[in-house]
Amino acid sequence: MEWLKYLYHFGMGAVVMMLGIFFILRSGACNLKNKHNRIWFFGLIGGYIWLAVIYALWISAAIYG
Amino acid sequence: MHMLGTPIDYVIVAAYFVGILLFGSYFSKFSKTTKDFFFGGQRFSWWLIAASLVATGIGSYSFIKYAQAGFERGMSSTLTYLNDWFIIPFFMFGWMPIIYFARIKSIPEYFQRRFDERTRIIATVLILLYLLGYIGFNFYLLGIAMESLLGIPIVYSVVTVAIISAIYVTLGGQTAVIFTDLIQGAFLYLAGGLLLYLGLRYVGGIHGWWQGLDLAHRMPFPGFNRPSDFNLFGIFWAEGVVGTLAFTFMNQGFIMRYLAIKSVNEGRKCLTWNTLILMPISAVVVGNVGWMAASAIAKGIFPASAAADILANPKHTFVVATNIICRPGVFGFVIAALTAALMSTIDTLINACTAIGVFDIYKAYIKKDAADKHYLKVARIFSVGATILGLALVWPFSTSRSLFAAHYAFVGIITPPVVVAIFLGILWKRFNAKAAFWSILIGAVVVFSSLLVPDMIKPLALTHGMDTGHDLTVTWYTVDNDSTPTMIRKASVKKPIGEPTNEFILRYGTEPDNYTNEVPAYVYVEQLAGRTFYRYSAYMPNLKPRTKYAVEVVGKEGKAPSAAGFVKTGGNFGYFRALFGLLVTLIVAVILTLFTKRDEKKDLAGLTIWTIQEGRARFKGGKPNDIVGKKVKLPLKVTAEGDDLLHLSKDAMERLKAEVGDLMYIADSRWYLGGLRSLHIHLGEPHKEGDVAIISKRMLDEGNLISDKMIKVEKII
Repeated sequence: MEWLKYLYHFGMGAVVMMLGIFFILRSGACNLKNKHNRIWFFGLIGGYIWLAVIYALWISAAIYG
Repeated sequence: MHMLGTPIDYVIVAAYFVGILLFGSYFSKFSKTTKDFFFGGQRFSWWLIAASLVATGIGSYSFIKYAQAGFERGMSSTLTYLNDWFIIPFFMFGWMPIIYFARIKSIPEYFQRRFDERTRIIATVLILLYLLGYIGFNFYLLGIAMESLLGIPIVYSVVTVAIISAIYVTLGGQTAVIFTDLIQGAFLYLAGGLLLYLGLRYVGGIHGWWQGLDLAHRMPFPGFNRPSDFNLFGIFWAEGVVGTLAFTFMNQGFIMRYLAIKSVNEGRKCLTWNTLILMPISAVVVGNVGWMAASAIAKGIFPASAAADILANPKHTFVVATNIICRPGVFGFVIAALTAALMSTIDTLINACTAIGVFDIYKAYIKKDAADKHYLKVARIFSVGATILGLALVWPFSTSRSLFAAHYAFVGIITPPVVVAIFLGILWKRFNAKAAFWSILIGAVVVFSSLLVPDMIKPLALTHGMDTGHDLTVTWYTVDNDSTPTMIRKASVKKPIGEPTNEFILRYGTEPDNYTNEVPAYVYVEQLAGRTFYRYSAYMPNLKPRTKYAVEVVGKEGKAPSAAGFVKTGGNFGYFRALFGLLVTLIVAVILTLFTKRDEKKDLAGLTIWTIQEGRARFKGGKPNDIVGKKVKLPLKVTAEGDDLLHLSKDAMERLKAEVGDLMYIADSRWYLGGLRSLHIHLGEPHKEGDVAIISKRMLDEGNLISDKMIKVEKII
């Protein structure tokens, strides 16, 4: 059940983020040809992964720790 | 327990107050213009703003609220601090660059420029009411905390904190707010860290603490849709999506902090660091007392009376647990931290309120074309006025629970429509002034109606299986061989857990002395750290939603009937009100936009994400130079006369990849000043005087720079 909650949280979170990313890329607000924009675009993805990894470790520690 | 509230505690608190007052007031010399007063001259480094946002984000009541949540819900209490990232793309590449490049000073000003005058007026009224109410609300909550911790009457603590905050905000403006919040944030972390350390020591270290928590308390998520006041669906949609949109899009104080940063790129650093690193730490700082209490009670190492108090009144968790684990002196730090949490929120709100008062009322309608010095003077007067108005609200808040609830309701009513107006304003060029104005009004009316008729939200809430309020499970506990029930409250599950038992029955009715129903109990036995917990529960079917019921546990076969109380059924769908408001306003706004004419003549350059690049060009006053260069450290040469431009050697310009006309940033090279002595300046023609940066005396003074210090030069755009 905990992993199901994890999937919901990060699954729906990914949907919301993808919506944001779609708009910023489509509009040119985030221009991947610009080095700084590129860094922060990958920062956005990295931040998502960072949180997803922390939560995965946390659930594992709660269940098995 | 230790003797708390000792002279050493009071000395620490008094020293803290004096220190903050002097430190904050020192920055008055850096507030020479309204740009300084409201946006700190737009010159600060990302780390300074990130650190100051820590203190702003932690309110005076956070320690008490999250200690309770930590005790009741365990580690999942952190969820509200950790779910902001999903919305960040909209802020990082949308709202933040828009307000920064368009040089927008207040949210109502955005409404004026993006829509029209009447939309600005409605936004000004709504946001100002929200901010003033929020100041009074925070003052009041601090008063309650001080009263429960030290027995100090509300009026004394509130007036003391108000005077200190008002003095340094009025004198130093945003610069004072940022620097004092840096200190207050450090203090908050220090106090939270001390509590964590003492708490861990009390429960036997990290391992001892972890072993004392049951599985539900260790988990990062609460139930999907239970309990009705704390569940994953509700927190994700109401707090994570709508709440974060509201905080990042319509919180004037938060936005002003980002406008105080030296560049959008630094703003993105600040945002990332704050959301991914500092907010998780803040969640630990405010919640750890509750986690320690949960573990200590489960392990049976808390004094029985304290454990019983917390179990019966989880709101007391912070006060009771702090009393047990704190030492004199440390307690002084905790009290100072609580006031720091308030001051750092209040100072931001006062400054935000003042900005709206000056730009959206005084400058817009009373005196349009006065000198900047005049507006600075008015800002200082408004600053005092905002504090007094907020202070005046403490009394009605303290005497009327309904006013307190009304402020909560007001925030809930205005947030979704205003957020939708901003959100569509930046994302959809066709969204026009008529649609914005009417969708705010209609959205607010619909959300208000949902407070009177909560069943309006029911269809949406049912899609996530939320509690309709027709049934309830009540739980209570006994520990070891003690037959006295220790707690009676709503349960997090719909159906009772465990085996049927005839030890207790539960009686209930709408009147305390007239129990019209009784239901059998179930028992679930749990072993934790050598103690036996008997968890009883009983299921009450066919109830009326949103109704208070009197309940009584009656012991059979020798058990003592000692637990009675009240429970309230769910069905108000509070969590989904925000999402409901957002969706309804969104639908209304889209329909109105499609059936009304476009604002053809509106200049949208820089006001939507589709026109951000035009906004950047306007901000610079020319074509942006996006080639990334190095930062350069140079000695400064000052000329008595000269233009207001920066002049560098050709070699330095090459290293910076900068061209004539580029917008540059020069700062005192001492990093720890965080940009306090710095300046944005356009690049002029190169000179031939070697590796030196040349500026005029006027520019030197404007940036508070010191002529014999090295400076760091970087290209902004």
